[in-house]
Amino acid sequence: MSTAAAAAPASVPTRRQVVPSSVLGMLIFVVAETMYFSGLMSALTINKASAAVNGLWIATGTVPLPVHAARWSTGLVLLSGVVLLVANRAFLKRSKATGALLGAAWLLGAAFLGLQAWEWRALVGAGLTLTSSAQAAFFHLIVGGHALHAAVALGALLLAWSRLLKGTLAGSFFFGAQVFWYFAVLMWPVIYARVYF
Amino acid sequence: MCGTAAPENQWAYLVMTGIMSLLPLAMMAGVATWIALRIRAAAREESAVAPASSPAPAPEEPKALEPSLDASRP
Repeated sequence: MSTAAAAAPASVPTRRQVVPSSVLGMLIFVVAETMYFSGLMSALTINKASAAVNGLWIATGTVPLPVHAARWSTGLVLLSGVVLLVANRAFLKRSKATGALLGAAWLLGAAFLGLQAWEWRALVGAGLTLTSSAQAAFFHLIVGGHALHAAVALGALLLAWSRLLKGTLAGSFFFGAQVFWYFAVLMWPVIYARVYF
Repeated sequence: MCGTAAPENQWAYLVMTGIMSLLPLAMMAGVATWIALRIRAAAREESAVAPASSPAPAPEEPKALEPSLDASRP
């Protein structure tokens, strides 16, 4: 019985995995999350356009959004994405620079998130909360949602980094984590353009 | 819904309806195209690696059960 069972797999042709399951799963998740942000952005656009009719967009006396600080955030997150792309190429070539590049990408991402946290703290301290105005509500909801996604993606990248240092990093996990981080990176400029202006 | 909007914000309803309708289709088409390209590239790699002259291995004959295993049966 055991001999027949051992002989059976040899006759079955092996199927090569063209796309890792982790990458495919992450892509489906990213498509769903893109629609989540699109829905919020759609609501923001319609509310902003309706301000001409009902005048309920920015309450009088509220603090303006920190456009200049967000510009720095945009630069940091885009740079992090570029460095991660370079780290991926180094990983595929089995280069020793992968660890340093992945670490740099993670630190740039963490700096982005830190700047966002500092910006939020300043705004909440100045009285701009979820209930201040329609603009403030959309700002906190969309930027906060993005920060949550970025934090989870950074957690995955940190795990990938630690596994890389231990020599146990699987390519499928690394590619899946990368897809999530690229989503956070590419979503931010759209949010910046729609929410801050 | 777009028809009930005021003239000042009707453009927003129309534009966002278009984006929300086309974006998921575009993303699904993008993912499907990428997977198709990966499958085509993998097939091309496999055909390049397998030597054209070597014959395909013959299917294995089913092996008979070993006498000891056969004897253990009731």
